[in-house]
Amino acid sequence: MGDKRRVLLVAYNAAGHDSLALGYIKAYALKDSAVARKTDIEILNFSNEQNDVRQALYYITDFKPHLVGFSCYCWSMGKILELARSLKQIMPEVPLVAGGPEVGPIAEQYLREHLCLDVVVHDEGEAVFADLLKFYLAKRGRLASIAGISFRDGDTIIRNEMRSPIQDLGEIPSPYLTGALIPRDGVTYVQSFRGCPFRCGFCYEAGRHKGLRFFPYERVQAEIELIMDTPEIRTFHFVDSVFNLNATHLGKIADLLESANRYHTRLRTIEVFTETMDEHAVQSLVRAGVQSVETGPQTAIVETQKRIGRYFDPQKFTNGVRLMQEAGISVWCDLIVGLPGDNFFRCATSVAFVMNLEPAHIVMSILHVLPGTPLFNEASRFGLAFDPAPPHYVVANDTFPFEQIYEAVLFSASVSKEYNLALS
Amino acid sequence: MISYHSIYMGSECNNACSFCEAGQEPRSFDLQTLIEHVDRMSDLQNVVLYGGEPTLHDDLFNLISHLRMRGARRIKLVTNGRKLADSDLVLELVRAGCRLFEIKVEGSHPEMHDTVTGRQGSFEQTMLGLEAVNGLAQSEQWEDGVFLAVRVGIRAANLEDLIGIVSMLVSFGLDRIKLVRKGLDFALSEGAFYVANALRLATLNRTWAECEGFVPCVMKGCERHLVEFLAPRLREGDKPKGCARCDYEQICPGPPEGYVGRYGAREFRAVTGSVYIKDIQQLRAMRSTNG
Repeated sequence: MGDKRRVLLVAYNAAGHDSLALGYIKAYALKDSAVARKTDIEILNFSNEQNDVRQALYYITDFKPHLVGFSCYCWSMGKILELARSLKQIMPEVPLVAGGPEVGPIAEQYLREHLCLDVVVHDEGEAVFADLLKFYLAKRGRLASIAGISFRDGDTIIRNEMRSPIQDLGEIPSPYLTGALIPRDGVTYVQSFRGCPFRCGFCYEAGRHKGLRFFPYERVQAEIELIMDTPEIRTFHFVDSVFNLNATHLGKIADLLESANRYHTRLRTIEVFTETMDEHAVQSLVRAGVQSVETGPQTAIVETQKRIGRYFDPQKFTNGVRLMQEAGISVWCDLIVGLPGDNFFRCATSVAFVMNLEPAHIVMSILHVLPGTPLFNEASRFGLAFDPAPPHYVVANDTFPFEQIYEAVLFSASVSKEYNLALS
Repeated sequence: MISYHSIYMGSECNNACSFCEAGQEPRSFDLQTLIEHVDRMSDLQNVVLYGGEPTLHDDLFNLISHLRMRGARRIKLVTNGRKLADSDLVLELVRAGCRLFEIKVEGSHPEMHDTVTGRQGSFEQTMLGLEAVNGLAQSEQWEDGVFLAVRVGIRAANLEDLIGIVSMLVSFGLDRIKLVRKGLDFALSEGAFYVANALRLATLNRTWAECEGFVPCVMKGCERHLVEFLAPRLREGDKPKGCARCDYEQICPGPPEGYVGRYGAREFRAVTGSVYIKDIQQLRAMRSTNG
């Protein structure tokens, strides 16, 4: 490592995943030739389920970083805070920077409540982190002039102005093409655009800036070709909020994937909007090598869908699922327990609706009232009570009292397990 | 909520329950008869095998194999669990494709259970069976791959033992507890108190529990646990006249046949102003769209 400055980027990931976000952060930071020359940036991926905080601590004490960044989600925050607290004790001089959807929308609250954190990034992190590196490692600029962060200044917490998202995503180098991330089987991710056309009340994207921003197709094509040129990669993911955004985009992506696919590589668990799925779109999915998709409906109760600002058409949804199944695509249906507008029997109705569609898998989850989402921001309108600490599980809402949520969780876990263990 | 095709494998049983005629003239259907029966069925995705005691059948594995060949995806065994004390047999069943087990428990202790089953030592074997299936279900290899439920038959004799039974069962990682009324030897309103407490105890201990054979007007506060609401079947009981005024009239099958003649209808009160009725009707409609 020589005299280089050392930066560690840490993520505790959901089972079987690595962090793409940290790959972007690293790739963007290394655009600066001085940073590239003088800095070692290492990404540390841990399993949230399997890895212990002390394993990270052991690694970090050996690595001796000059700066540590954390990628924060509701599921990983407990471990990150535990790690950050310990790190601050043994390396008080090392700045600790937190970013990601869990902390960004409530940055000041995190800084106020967790003295171990020095900086919290409000939103998109690439450009902000590059500025932070210049400040901390090259002593250039002032924290107060870095847009998009809140930070601790003695006993005061200062919130800087918001930073506009990067409009031209081409400015963010590809983590795979630059070598910031190495494509590996099952944990490789491609993103063709950022943002979401929908505004679902429970989703972080709904609380963020509007509009869609696209990566240049040539760059997406180059990423796809690199990944699909690696025979060891049997499957990889697309992390677009809606893979079938529209016919034109889907067609272009399918063309790229189809022409690059030499080794029968498959796409797994991509998110699709099922109501607009027609035969042409399904053919595009097949051409794209899509093995499985994950889709709503989250709830089958139309009234609830309206309340949370989500479009849902039961008949179109049913037709879309059928079309994908007939094309041999494995469809996974998601349901959320605890949405405002639902109750125990409505939840059971949603389970029945989904079972009628005979999906390959039913994925049940409990509502997380995530910071920055419409449900979080307008909690009182929905009578929402939830744990203010991550993962922000719902406690009750104006139609779904706690005892019913508790019972609905037990019921749906029992029924979905019975459903999901079907043999092929 | 999942509908199953039932396959009766014959009356041979290693228990001799006082209320059951199965074991009196033991007779198992031969494989050919069972296969012919299966082959007459359409849509064999979900199948439940019962008896008698299906684990005693010589051709259980041959039948499972045939069901798998015919496309069965969920094969459930309703059993007294005694033969499952042999963990090799459990593993063999699971490997053959039988992944769902519903084990019948009649009491929380040998005196109660063995009295009902008429066989000394049956409780111990059933518990060993439960442990064997549970051990496999909890193993890393079969995690989420084995479903274990317990069916408790409710009679006057074990009403007061229901809490004890559920207390014992929640220590297993069960996927479901079913409390099923058997026979007419207790008044529903008398049983409701014990059943409601047992349901609460299971729920408190994070085990989903449901009851069958009870009517909503005597099970107020437990509506969410009634199989009659969650998985309604076309079954008509013996409805008193007052039921015509009840919000649940279209959904509730009423008390079992012969019940009113024996106990009268005074315990049944028409439910009005139910906060659940519209949602239960919607659930019922949703379930009927796919049979």
